[in-house]
Amino acid sequence: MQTTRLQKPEDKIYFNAATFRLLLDCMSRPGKIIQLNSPDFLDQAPDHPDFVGVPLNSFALGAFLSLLDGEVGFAVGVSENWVASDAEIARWLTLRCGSKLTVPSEAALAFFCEGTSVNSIRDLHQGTLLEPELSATVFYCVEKLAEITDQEDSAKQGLELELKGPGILNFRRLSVDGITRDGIAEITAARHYPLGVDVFLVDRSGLCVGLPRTTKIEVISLQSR
Amino acid sequence: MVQPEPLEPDEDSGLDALLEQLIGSENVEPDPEQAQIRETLYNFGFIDEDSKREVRRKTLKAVAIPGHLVPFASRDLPVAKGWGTGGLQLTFSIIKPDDLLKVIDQGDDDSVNAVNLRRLIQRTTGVPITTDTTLASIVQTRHRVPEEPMREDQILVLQVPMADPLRWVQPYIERSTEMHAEMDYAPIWVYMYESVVQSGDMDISSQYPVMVEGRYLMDTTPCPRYDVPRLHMSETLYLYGAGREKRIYAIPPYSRVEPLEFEDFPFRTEHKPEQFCEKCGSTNTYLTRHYIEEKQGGEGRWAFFCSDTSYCQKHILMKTGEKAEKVSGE
Repeated sequence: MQTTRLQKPEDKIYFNAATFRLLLDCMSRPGKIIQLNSPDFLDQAPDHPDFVGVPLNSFALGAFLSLLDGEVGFAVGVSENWVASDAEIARWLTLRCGSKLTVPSEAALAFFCEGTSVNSIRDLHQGTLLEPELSATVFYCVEKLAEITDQEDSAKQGLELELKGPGILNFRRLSVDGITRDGIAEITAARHYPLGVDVFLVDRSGLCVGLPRTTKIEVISLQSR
Repeated sequence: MVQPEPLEPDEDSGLDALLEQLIGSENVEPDPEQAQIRETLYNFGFIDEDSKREVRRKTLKAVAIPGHLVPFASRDLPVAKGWGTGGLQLTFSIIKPDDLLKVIDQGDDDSVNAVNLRRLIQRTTGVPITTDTTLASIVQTRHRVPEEPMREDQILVLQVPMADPLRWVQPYIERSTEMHAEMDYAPIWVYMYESVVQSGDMDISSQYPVMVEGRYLMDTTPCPRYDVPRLHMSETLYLYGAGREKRIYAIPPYSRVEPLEFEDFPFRTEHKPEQFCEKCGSTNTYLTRHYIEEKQGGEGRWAFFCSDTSYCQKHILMKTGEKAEKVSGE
């Protein structure tokens, strides 16, 4: 039986403030891996639309919700498709933030339930030269993010990325499990600076990495999987 | 004019009284236990949560496009527009209860504007306050970048009166937005050239225009030129808020920030190495001129003091500490 709990409004305010600071840190220092706070939803996070009984990444949902309000619309991508407005996840999100599901080209924020659904990124708004800030901000759920240090052997799974650009002193390297080489190519294809979408990758344990449009992403190797 | 020796001013100057007052002033080290409780009449951080979210979304975009002016819906605050509302809205949107805040105005912790903004933030958030740059997690400032280098874990929020550097050559913001989009910066170069030809110097003394990451021309707020080189490849995130102009922009850490300059007329700061602060004696800080009235109706004179008062005070304490050690050692 589900018990009803009360949440103090302040908890939500503090959670949003703290989460935003983490996202701001991610965005200003691309490639830095930062642990997001665990959100205190009053119920379970909704199920993944394609995998019945598998909950969505609650860390990414919490961060996504902390930026949404009634002024902007959102879009949710699942397995290369966009979910319809009667989907459970869309209703769950609308109920919590007052924001509505819109067509992808008008969405200010987009949520991708897994890293393989990146093909639809080109449907999103990339901004115009007059208003480059109108582009979408994207949250991707991936499997695992890890830093690459020189000492380690290449036992890690997933793609190894090298990042350069503002916010990075020389370069940063990290490994991402749960996104394909084509997925990274889709992300880089959707940006022509100063236009482009800005991306957050969030893994299962709540580690987050920001990839703003200024960041140059290079795939340095694909580990055996 | 003969400049008095630093730290040993003659008795009539009245400086030693000032010194004593400064050194004797109460300790400003923050005490976490004494963090003031906020007034519960207000929402945490004064402005409502939806407004904060809007500012937050725009701030993320500003960081993603360094130097680009991002429009936002500037809210009304119990402070008149033009007195730091842009910086306030940024601070309210990023602040969290475990922050430690410093507010300065022209480098000064104790000016009317700084004190009032600080009171408003403290009453509505309850965060503790400091004047020490090295301890603060957020520094809100008007006109100055603090003298002490800031770190990775700190954020500098700047209050901006005029946001668009093209204002000098193009008063219509619609047109100047097009110029930014097309990277059409020729008119500002002509303006700079003309000012060198006419007055022998760049006429722009403060809010000097800079190129960020080789793409966007950006206004540095009325920072003195002295502070402009500190924006280049800095460790700290710089957030700029213009409340009246309704614009937010940012310089992420480790970004290229280049002041406009000609090959044969390089960018220069207004720093003169022979000038020194009459309170602390430092020669490597930004100094401002103050008029000092003499006692007994004598003629007054102009004196230079550090603009960053907390740094100056620290410097004095350090020097007098060294002196005391020397004396006790003998």
